[in-house]
Amino acid sequence: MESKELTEAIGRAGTELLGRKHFGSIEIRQVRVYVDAAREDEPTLRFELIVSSPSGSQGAWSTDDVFNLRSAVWTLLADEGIPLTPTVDLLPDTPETEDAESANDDLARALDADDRA
Amino acid sequence: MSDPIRPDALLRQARVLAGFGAGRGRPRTIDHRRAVSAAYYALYHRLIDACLDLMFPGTMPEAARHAAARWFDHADIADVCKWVLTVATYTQPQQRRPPQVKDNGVWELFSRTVAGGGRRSGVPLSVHFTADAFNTLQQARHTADYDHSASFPKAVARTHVLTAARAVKLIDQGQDGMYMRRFLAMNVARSSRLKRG
Repeated sequence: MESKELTEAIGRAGTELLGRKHFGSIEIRQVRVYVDAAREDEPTLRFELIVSSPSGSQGAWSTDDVFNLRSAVWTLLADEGIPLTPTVDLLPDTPETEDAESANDDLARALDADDRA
Repeated sequence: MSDPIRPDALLRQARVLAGFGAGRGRPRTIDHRRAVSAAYYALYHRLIDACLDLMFPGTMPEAARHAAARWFDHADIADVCKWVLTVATYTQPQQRRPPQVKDNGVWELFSRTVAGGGRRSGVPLSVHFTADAFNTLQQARHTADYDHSASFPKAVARTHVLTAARAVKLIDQGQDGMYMRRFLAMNVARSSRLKRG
């Protein structure tokens, strides 16, 4: 695949992904794509997705939704004939503002309790 | 007396570091990084355990098992996972092995024949999820341990921990046994090597 053709195909894949918008409870708000050439023999295509923060009590996205999202990226690239392995990173669009120090006290207590168990 | 690396202990550590059950607030992001690393190693060691069970059914001396565990390699397992993930993208019938799929038997092992002719992916969810989790966590661990500029919010760390826990559980349950055994066997074949002493 020529460089120009590859760039256009990556653009189409990113647009398609953004167009789908929802994967279960995850809403995609922004798509950034980078070529990661850390391994020269096998460059990867890195999708950095800015998504809605998780809403459940776990404070995490559903593993089903994330898996389906990643699988969709793999399929999109295959459909476009893009010969690069994708990686998918999610980032919440809402910054965390809670107090770090008090939580570290909680963490220390949790570790102590775990040691005693 | 040995102190083996137990996947369940690593997962427990990952949960603590990611702040599960810690109430309001959040641990420092360095803890999130360590949570991701522990989660990855939980899956890595569980996968190797499963491969060893396949290779050496029944009991074997602990020291021998631990020595055999060192035959495996991170990059080799990632390669197998990638091959399987590539097959999984072909959900529509293909008349021949797609060029993106390695010519190493992975297509024949992980695709199934279709009534109208051709073959399509037969990768079951358990294997698909485990392979995807392994490669995702390996990349995340690498970022967590080496990339100073990376961001590891709580949601990201926790999602990785839950993903590892689910993959470990899928291996524990042995769902889709035949395909999971094929996946493990490919890992054995790919990873096994005896180093010169």
